[in-house]
Amino acid sequence: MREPVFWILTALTQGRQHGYAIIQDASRLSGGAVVLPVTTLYASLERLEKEGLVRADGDEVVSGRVRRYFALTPAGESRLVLEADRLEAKVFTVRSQLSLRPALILGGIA
Amino acid sequence: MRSALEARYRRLLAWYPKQWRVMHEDAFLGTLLDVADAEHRGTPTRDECTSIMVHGVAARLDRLVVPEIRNAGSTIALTAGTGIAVTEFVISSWAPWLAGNPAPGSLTQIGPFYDTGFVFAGLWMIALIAALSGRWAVGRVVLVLSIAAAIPMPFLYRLTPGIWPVDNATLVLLVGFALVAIVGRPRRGVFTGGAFVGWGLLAALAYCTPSFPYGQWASSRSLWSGVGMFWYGALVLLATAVGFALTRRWNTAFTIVLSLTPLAVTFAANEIQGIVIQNGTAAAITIPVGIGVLLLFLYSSGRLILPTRTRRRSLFKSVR
Repeated sequence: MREPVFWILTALTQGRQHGYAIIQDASRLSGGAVVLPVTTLYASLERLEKEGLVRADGDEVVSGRVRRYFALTPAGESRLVLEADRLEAKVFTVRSQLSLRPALILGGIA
Repeated sequence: MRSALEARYRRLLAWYPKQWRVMHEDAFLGTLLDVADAEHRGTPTRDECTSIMVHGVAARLDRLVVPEIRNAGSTIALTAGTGIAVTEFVISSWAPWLAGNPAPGSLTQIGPFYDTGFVFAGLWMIALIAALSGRWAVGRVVLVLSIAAAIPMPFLYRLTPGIWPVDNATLVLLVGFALVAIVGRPRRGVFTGGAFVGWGLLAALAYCTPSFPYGQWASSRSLWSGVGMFWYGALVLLATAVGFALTRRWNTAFTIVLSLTPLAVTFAANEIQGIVIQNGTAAAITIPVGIGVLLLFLYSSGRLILPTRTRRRSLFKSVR
């Protein structure tokens, strides 16, 4: 899963969001590491909609501007859980390898 | 201030196709204005302008050829173009097994090379390496350069007598493959590297015809003057595409059609030049490929709905 898609799906876990709110949340949740350009956001949302991971959830007009809301679908939630599991397994492997390292070095010397 | 900014964004959004704008323009614009407000800006940034242009062109291409087919076609075109360019370089341009100038009266060597094939082989190899290393933007620029380098080649011999350019038909084929490769994003990985080797060997086979001047120099024209290996290959691939279409594997069938387009255009160009490909006519390939491309455009734009595959395996399981 690409980085922008991961953060878009994560931003939507707390409920329906409009475009700008997704950009803000993605930046906040990633600690400022991900700043989504509007073009990338909409291209990703279009693709996610096609794949059934996200659905458009109505338009609202606020101060003369159209705000389109997007929501996570059950398939999108499952996909995000899978991704989180995958990342967790990776981190677990790295941590266990790192914790084994001193023992191996000692074993090698012995 | 805001209305001027809105007008500028709307002008930029004209890069997107009309159908897309009808569905998304207002929501997209609302988000662009929200971001501009948060950054206290009254004009679009340069990055925004470039990004809107790139995404707009991509959205237009999506309606011409769907991304899955474009990307698969790009992989085939990149590997085929590199394979053919490198084979042409080894056999015609370099031919390390030859000693001395094979045609001293009419051919002037460029260093150790007999024709300009080394330029194209070099550029295509850089593009392939760029694609494999995840720097496809560089690959695209290099392929644009290869197209630019191909344009003056037909006039080269007249301008600099003695310097042999790559044959016109091979150039048309390489330009066609470059265009198909540029509009998509090739797949990375072992498959891409393997496909390059495979296409290179097939191109070498196309040289090895009964008319191959064994032990002598074979110019790049030899690729097209044999028993029509490319013609037979295209016919087999065309039959394969029809087979996939009959089993409703549309994406695979259309990918083959898209990948055959440069070859079909080359056959047509040869025919226009009065060069007849032995053992087959250009029309036998160009007409079916033309029909296939037309169907692909209609399918990608949503004006042609094709029946999807029905899965029978589960039925057999339940019967058993």
